[in-house]
Amino acid sequence: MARYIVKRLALLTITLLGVLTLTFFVSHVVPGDPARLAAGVRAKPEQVEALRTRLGLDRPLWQQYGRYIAGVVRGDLGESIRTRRPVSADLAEYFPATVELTVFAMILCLLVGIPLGILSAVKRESVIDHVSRVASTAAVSMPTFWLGLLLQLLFFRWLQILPATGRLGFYLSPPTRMTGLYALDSLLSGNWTALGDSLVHLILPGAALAASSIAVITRMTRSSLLEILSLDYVRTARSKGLAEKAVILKHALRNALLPSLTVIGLQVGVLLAGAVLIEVVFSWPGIGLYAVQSITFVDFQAILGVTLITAIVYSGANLIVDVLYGVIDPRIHY
Amino acid sequence: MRIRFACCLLALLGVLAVSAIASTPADTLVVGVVEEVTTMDPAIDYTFGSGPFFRAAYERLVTFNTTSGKIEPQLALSWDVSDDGQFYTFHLRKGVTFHDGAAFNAAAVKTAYDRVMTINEGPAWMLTSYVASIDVLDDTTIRFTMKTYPFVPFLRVLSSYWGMCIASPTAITQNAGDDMGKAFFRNHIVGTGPYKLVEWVEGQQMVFERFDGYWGGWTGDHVKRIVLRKILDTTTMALLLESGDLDIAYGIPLDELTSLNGKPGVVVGVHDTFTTNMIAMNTTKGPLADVRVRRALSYSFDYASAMEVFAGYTTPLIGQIPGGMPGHDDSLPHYVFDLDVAKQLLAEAGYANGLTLEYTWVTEEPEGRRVGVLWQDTLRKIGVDLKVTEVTVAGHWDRVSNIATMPDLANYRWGIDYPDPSSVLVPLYHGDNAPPAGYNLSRFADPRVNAVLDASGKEPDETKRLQLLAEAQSLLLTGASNIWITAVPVTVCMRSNVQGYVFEPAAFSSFNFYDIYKK
Repeated sequence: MARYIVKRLALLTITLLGVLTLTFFVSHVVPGDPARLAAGVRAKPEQVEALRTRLGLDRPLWQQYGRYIAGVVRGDLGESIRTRRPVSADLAEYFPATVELTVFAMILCLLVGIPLGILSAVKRESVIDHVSRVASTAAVSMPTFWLGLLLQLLFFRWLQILPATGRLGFYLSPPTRMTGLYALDSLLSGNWTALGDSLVHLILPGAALAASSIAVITRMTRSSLLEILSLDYVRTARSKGLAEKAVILKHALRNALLPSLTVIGLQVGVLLAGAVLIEVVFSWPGIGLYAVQSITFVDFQAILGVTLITAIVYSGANLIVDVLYGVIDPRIHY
Repeated sequence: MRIRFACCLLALLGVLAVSAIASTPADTLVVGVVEEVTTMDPAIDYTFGSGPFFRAAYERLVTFNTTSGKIEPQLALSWDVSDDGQFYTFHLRKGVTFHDGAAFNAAAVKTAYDRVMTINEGPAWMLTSYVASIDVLDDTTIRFTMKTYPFVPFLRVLSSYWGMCIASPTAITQNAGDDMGKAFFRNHIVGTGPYKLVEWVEGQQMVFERFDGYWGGWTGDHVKRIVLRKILDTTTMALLLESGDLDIAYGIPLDELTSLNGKPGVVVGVHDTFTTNMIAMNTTKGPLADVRVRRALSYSFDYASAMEVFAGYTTPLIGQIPGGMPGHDDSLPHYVFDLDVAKQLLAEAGYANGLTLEYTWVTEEPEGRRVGVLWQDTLRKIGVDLKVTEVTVAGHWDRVSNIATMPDLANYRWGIDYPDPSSVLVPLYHGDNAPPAGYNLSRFADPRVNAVLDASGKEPDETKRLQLLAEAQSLLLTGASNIWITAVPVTVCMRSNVQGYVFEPAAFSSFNFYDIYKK
């Protein structure tokens, strides 16, 4: 297993290099002069040239590439021309917000998606199965940002029970920074007011973000569980006189979860991508928002930084899923 | 079991409700803004996002009064200008302190402006182009020696908040580091303004508190705290204003105002700014090099209908100088929508059988798309095929700055740097200011216009100067380098208990926080 993980990590490095290389050259093909934008469109030509030299944008592309990769190896992701500070500082500022939102959404996915899938499978063709089918179809087909706005309208405007934007109410200061995840930080520092408030702020964006993934996970769990439930070994278990609960939860579910697990791993990517829209709708200061602004500004280093971190998370999630296969299914050995 | 669960759920929702509904406290002003803040350094920032915080916490030597059109004292009490315009001597206000306790004096002004000029980024050109040196004459007297003089608009230049905000000399020297304090001033504000920055949660909000040592004092009605909340989604912003979670909402798009119109407790405000919307015509190549074609297009534009794009909140621009700025004159001649004249002019220029033109609009300035589509429809009637292309800000600059890629027609906005007509006419229409040096996108070069503009910058007599500006605008009309559409309106909506706000077209994204209070 350890050897397998090391091998995968080595492969991951190559993948990341490929991703960075591709993004580097593609982002340099996009029209736009970053030095001009950084200096401002009204800046005088000599100011623009001075900035271009300072940022190293006057060098040949291959040199810029070499310098960038060498920097990444040293842990230096370059300087953002928009925010005027190291990209690593920007990522440290904005990434935790996305992590918090995504993790919260993922928890929602697991807590709702899997039980709902089991319920739909076990009580097949019941009211709950039909309702879950309709809800899933709706959740998958509804644009994320629109769902976000609907939730705001319902829970913020009409019911007035949940806040619509931001990570904390304006009357609160963020908790002492440890991880950058407000809920976790306030828990660690014992700041209960901030904990409650940050959780409350997570509900709407988290639910909007999770909705389509919940739907996918529910449907996947349902269909794979149904398939397993029709297998011989389940009939054997039943005929042994085992309680239905034990048959489903102990015998069938474990096997049924394998395909769901793959889907869940893929959903990490889906959630990260969806976060871009959700962050705009909910003014959530995360990496999605940062990416959108960096792209408008042709902020190469920032775009590359976001790409790198997203690629790491995505590949990391896939690795974890693969390792979990081995844990759940003893037939799989690495 | 189920009942217990339902009770728990209800209790939870109750708790949530308490924390969710937070109408703003009486002594706190909560303002929703859309613009991004990336640095607070007055030597570097050159964006519209800085308006609110620069005006809350920093001050300048002089300010521009929109109503009177005159320059008024702020940190300078009075000033003398030498007869030839070479020296500007300012007599400074006494008893002013910075947020860090440093005293405001002539040396402080010099330290702050020298820093801006040494860093020489963004707005610095407004000082470096005109100022040769700044000298401290005594503790409360400072003299600016001009490079080129006379330069009549200089006081108005000093009233800009870009580059002209005066930061504490102690903060500047103590945090100079090896980057002239750029890292420090990115996140910190140390000015003399009425409010001091107490918290900046990046990408979320800035919190300001009243500065007890403010020279203006705190008698009368003022708020204690100001919270600037960044809200990116304007639909959400409107919801927040309606529910009372915001006192002021800045920048809700015009077509989204319908959701707020007539809502109790909400006052909808739409104001014309000094930012203008235009279409630059490429005068250097293709059919538009012929002035007759440019005039034909000027007649083919349906000015009145285009106002629908701005939800009917504004009127067509007369002349080139926006309303409210000296030099604007509603009686100036202007083009009117007349397709027959347009057709005739096209025929005279040899395009009786029509022609194809490319029109670009900038993603971030969405009015450009609708203007283009409307115009495309009209132009079809006179045989002109308009290709409407979308470009990003970056792509726009790439295309317009290169004569080979400059489209036939480019929709763009121009916001002024300082409240003077020269900040509109010179960068946009002076022959020396073709990109990348300036923003004369059409590359319009008429020696008569250049001469009049040069003369107007040197004319100290206001009446004579206005005559020169009127002459420049008539010449520009004849040259038809652009289609002048309108001044771009912005929306400032607020709760009805917010009092004392005055809109300033020259600094439209900012607020006169010191005068604002809540009933």
